[in-house]
Amino acid sequence: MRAAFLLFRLAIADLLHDRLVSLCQIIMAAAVVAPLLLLFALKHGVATTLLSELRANPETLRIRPVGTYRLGEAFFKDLAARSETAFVTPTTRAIATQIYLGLDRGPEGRRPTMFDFQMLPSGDGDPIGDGKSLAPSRHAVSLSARAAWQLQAVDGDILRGIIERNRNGRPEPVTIELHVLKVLPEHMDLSATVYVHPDLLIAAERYRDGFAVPMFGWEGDRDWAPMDTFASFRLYARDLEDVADLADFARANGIEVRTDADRIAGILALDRNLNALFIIIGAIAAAGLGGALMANMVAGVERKRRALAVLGLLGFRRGALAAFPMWQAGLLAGAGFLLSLVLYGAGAAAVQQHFAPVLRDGQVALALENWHFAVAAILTLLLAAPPALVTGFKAAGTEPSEALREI
Amino acid sequence: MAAAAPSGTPPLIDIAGLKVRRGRGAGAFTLEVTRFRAGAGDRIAIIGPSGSGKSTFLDILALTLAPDEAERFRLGVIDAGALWQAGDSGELADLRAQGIGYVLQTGGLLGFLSARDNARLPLRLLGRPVKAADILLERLDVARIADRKPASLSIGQRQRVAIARALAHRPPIVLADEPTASLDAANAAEAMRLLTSTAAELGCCVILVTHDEKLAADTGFDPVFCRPGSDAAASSLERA
Repeated sequence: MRAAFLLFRLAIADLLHDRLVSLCQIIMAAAVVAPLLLLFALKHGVATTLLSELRANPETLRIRPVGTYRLGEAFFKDLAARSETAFVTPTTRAIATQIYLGLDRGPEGRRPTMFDFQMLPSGDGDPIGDGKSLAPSRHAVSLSARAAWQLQAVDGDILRGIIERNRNGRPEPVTIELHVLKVLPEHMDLSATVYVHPDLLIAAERYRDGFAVPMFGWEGDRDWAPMDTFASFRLYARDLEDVADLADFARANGIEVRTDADRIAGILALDRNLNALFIIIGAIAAAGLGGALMANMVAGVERKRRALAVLGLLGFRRGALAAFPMWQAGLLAGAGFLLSLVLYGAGAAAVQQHFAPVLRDGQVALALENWHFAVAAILTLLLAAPPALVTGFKAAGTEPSEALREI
Repeated sequence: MAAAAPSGTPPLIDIAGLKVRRGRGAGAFTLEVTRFRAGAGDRIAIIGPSGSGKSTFLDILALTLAPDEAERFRLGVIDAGALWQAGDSGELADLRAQGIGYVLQTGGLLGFLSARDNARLPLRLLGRPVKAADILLERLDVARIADRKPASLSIGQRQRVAIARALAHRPPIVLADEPTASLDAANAAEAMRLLTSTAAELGCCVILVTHDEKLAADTGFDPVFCRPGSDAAASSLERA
């Protein structure tokens, strides 16, 4: 142990003594590692920015059915059971999702201005509500930013809702009081939408079809009966890669759907292609660096053969002698990596500044996680491993008797 | 001069019936050491023409060359022949570290260490205090230049530092391989005086390999001749 520690100090002393050669080797390592770090950071930054933009908006994960269908319980059970499904809830015919809403200003207020909105059902696990229902009770609703702007409504406001049907050419409206639970951020939903409890949506369709709706106290010619089929659904995939699979499932069931699958596939393909490109470039650069390190270090051991022989003559064991160039290989690779971090920092600042005019808030041109740096450090040290082993083997084979011969 | 080992104390070096062959074919060479004994405080000069096997014998004593045959090869109480037979390179290295000091032709100093760190190295390897090396550097009059690297020292100064390194850990045996070969006569005499007087103070046995029979005699070394045999490819050496 003492000999190994002493050899470590001697290895450092030798590197410092040969500082010009050591510096060249450190620069050589950094000249390869720093551009690779920058390249990977750029690739990761571009892909991350594009993918995080997609992931930031749950609507990207939505599979939108076109048209109306007769979808039964079995279909929804199958859909909900699929691993790609993050959230699914049945919806009614588009015509039945219409509701008039106005801000209720209390008994002394003026009669509210009514606007026409589309209702969408919410529920537990709703991605737009960060996994929570946007309408946990029948009288609670959440508004898209555009709907809230039209209504001039904020969280906690009371809305008056009107659902209307025609019977014998005469309109028959019913009113319902709704309170605003939440106004969604603008990027979540660009349309004028109100998110409601599924019971309200079903009640609206049933009421329009002439049914009585006892749960809301609405009268009708026909007695209330639960719906056994639905015209459509609100469906979200668990991740970007799942959108295409869910769309295929819907199409296989005869449902025409619209998705962002093509856009997602394009960005995922870009990420994959950039990864492949980086791996090819990285492998070639790493092979070059490994070869250069090997040549330099083997030459170094040949140069230091007499010094190693003297150390052997003084009583350092062969194993300890092997540690001498191995320490040096590790130290040079470590120093090369540290220098490459400095160069990366400077390069990253320049790249970020160059792209700053075309980047939006929160977007980055380069991105590296802490674990990327850790992996890069380990890979750099691994690159030094073969030269370290070869030179260690050569050093261990140095005969102490060589010290007794003048070279 | 040569202090005889007290009765009952094993000699520092005790070799009998040792043979070593080097090289192959036409260049092959055999050294036979019929008998060789040395005790604490002895000064022995191995003298002989080039190619007579002096350096080969030094290799044997330095534990860097395995004998092909040896009836007896002991360093003090340690059976070096058995260690070679067992192939115990670790024990041999430890024995070199503790028991032997070396002064090489041009010092054999490590260029990347200061003179002081060179002199301290054997002590550091053994985990002993380094003060003994500093005292020797003072005594050999090189303490003031001890922070310099060997490349900036004169050959005479390097040899003094090498002597300090060889003696710092008070090894029982000091091997000197033509330590004055690169020095002028005055510096050679001074280096030999410093080596012998310091070694004598520490009770070391000094084995000197040299061509210079006169210098060896002048500095009180007991000559042992490496004699080429009738066959040009063989030499023998004997000191009872």
